[in-house]
Amino acid sequence: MKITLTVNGRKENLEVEPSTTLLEALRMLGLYSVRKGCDTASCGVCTVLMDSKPILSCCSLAVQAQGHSITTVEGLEKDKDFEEIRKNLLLEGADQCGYCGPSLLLTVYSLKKRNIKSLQEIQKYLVGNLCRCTGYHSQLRAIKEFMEVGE
Amino acid sequence: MFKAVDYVRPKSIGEAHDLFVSNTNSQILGGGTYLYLSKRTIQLLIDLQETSLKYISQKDGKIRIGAMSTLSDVEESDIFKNAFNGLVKKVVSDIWSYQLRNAATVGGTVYSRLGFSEFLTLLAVLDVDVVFHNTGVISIKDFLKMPPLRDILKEIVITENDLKVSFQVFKRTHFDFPVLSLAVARCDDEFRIAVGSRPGCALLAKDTPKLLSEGCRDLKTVCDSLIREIPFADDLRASSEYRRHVCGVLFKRALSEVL
Ligand code: FES
Ligand code: FES
Repeated sequence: MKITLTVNGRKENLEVEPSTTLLEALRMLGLYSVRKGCDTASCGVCTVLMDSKPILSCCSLAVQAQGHSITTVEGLEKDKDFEEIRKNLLLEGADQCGYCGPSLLLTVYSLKKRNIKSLQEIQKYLVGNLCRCTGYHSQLRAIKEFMEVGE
Repeated sequence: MFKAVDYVRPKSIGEAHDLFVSNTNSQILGGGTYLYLSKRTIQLLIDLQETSLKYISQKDGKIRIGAMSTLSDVEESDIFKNAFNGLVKKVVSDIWSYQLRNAATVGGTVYSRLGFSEFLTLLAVLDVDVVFHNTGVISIKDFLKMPPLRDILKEIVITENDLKVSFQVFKRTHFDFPVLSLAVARCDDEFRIAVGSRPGCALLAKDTPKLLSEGCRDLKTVCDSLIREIPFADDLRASSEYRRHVCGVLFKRALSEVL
């Protein structure tokens, strides 16, 4: 079926099956920052923002996303907050193979808008962002600074 | 992976209901987050996102949650900050990941009677009604015992009251489905006990609450009774024997909070 998705502020027309996942649809559009890992809602590398909230594109259907605003890292390149968290992660050496990078960036970016007060709370919101290179300590240092929270 | 042949987005619950009952191989789409668990081919997916079922309201001691509200909506709602001393909010915010909670719906969780759902275990001991488009209002107690209904779940209604509630869960890691979840609610001499992730769906105990209501406070007696009456099974997370043991431990902890 023909659908129209709003991705990074642009209307995109594409032809999908009703069971095509949002992950597959976004990759059809050439947005390869949206990655496929477990495909079972466990690793978080397929995270995108839907109406500013992080969701898993591997277990959302493309058809469901019609009428919503989808954001991937490609759409945030000129955003100040996004630039800051990206820089922090690089400076802390938190990006190793880079596979989990875009999904982590998007989740942390969305958390900035919430009133997060502690490191423990940040960790709780990030349980669904697995890093197979296990760079969690450096990631947390970078995120802590970005979110301006104490221990 | 599941397959779907067709997809619709009805504008009203009535329209959605007609499509659902007239097509036996149709399925209601909530958040769609657990569809990946299915291997079926579905003829028609009926997406409820335009049927105005996304709301949480509080009036006259009742909290109404529209079926299309997400678990995050519950977690972030000011209503649940205070209701039941924040317990509902706490339980929901510990479910799986933030990303999943932003998409998984309350209706999808309740209607599907997901065995691993911590939320359902808690709801089972509260005063909860589930409201269907055609069938009307059913208490959660009856709903959990019924065969699957071919009807559309519109909302759940939680009555606020002075129940003393304890919720316990055991997971192998924070980010996992539970090995077992257990909730106990007490109002004076009345007790309710639900056990979930057995691995089947939350089940309310019958005999053990009676024992407690009759004044029995011997921990071994009441624990043995609960373990005897609740059926457990094996899955990849735990054996039934292990679950039985965990159930006893969680039950003692819960009792220490409500007695
Ligand atoms: S690919 Fe979606 S959670 Fe792993
Ligand atoms: S940096 Fe390699 S998966 Fe996270």
